[in-house]
Amino acid sequence: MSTVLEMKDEWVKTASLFGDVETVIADALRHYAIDKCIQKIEQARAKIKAYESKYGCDYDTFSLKVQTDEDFLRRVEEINLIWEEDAMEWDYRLKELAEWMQKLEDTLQQ
Amino acid sequence: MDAEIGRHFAAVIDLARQKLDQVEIVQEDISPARAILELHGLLGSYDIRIKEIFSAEGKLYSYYVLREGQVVVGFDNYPDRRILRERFGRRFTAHLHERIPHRHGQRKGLVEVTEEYDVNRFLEIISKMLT
Repeated sequence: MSTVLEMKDEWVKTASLFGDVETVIADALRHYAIDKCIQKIEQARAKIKAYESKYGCDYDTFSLKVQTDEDFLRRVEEINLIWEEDAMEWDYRLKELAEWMQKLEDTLQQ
Repeated sequence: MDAEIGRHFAAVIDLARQKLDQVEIVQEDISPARAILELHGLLGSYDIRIKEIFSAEGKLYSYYVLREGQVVVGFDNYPDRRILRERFGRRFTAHLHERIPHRHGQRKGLVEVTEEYDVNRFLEIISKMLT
């Protein structure tokens, strides 16, 4: 995909100091995308870690035991009576993490 | 997904601000593949908790009313063991990820299947129930 961008002359002048402007801009965009992917990955990981620490297990264990183990459910409800709120976001963050990891891998390979 | 969900979340926030006090947007994040909105508010002395998640798998929601840390009433569609057992009996473990909309009563002592809820219906019902 090619895109026409409007940019301040000053930025273009500065970019040209480092080589061919198009190459410099493409490189800058790639770095920006990588940084943003890493930021999203770190945010998702932090959320997942917080849930793992709160409930003392990973999501697969949690989602299974909360349905099959009454003692586990009782302990969970002592931690948070409305644990469903956390559970749905926990699952969401795991899927989000996988997506951003894939996006990062794709970007790094380009 | 972005624009449509963005408009939906804006409408939810607007509605919450009309019906509730001290509305706090805890998180709102929209990306092409998924979106999440969480907000808290007050209805009189009741804490109102709203969370919605959209993805390719559909909508997950959790709408709860709390008072002094106890559940007064709540609606969600996260898989629930009692509902799954009721519906599938011994075979319920084959359906652990099935989303069935349901309602929790006082202190989660009661659980019953419902139709899928949205914020509009939830706020309408609790406004009648609690005021």
